[in-house]
Amino acid sequence: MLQSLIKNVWIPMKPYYTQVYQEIWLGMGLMSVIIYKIRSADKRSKALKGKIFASSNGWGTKNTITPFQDEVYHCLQMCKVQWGYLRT
Amino acid sequence: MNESLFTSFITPTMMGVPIVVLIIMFPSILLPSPSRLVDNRLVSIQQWLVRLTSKQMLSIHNHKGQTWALMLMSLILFIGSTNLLGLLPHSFTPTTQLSMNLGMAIPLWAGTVAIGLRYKTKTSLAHFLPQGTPFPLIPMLVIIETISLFIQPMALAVRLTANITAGHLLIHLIGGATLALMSISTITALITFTILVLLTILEFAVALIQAYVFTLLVSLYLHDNT
Repeated sequence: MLQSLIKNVWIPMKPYYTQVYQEIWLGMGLMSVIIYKIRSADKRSKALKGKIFASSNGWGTKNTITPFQDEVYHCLQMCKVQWGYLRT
Repeated sequence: MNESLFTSFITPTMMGVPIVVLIIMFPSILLPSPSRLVDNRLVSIQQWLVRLTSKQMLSIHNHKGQTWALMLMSLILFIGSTNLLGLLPHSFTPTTQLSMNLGMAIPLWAGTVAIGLRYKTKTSLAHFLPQGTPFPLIPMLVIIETISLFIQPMALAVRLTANITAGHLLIHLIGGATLALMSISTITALITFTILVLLTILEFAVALIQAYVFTLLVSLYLHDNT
């Protein structure tokens, strides 16, 4: 399958992929950087909201969260999400 | 009614597995590539359409710009076929997703800007200041031109998303209204149904026009930079 892919796709398209579309590859790299930044910012904000929720409910009072606490918190979050789905 | 209005825009899954990639790849099956000297009718019509579109679109380009012929023709065929397939009832249209359209717009726009900066640096930078600008207005105009440059991919993506999404929503709403009016007043339902038919014809035109506009704008950005 790889051989047919190389024969039917890579060989006819090689001048395009290697020479013509160089700037488009650069554009795709830029787009992937933007996507990475957006996703990491989203994860960070969700983690921050989770920490605020956890600290307001008395978790992590010594600035450390035990694995058990983390697991319980995660289960609570999943229950909240499922309840939200059921309600809608 | 509110819940069902936006369900057609949710990315489809089959038994928990997202099938968006299959849906995006589906239009390529409907467009067979020519393999003979004289092909069958479908492929000949397709070839004729591609030749007509490429002649019209690439006539303004120089040699460097014409190397993008394959990319531009693939773009218009993909967006056109995806938009038209999305007019089938209960189908999913990938071009209603902003992420998809940004994924098309940003690399192509960035590619055109990179070509301009690489091969014609002075001309590309000169685009930031229109000719004949009064001296006191220069700083403000450079800022405005920079903003307008960076807005281009956003405008490309949002234009396509908004047009296709709005059309689908309208069809859904008017179709729902027709159905609801059938038990209330048949004449009003008939009028609404006529509006629905006219709207569907309009949406066929919009599907093709939006594909053409997207590709034409990318072609114009390329022309400015080559």
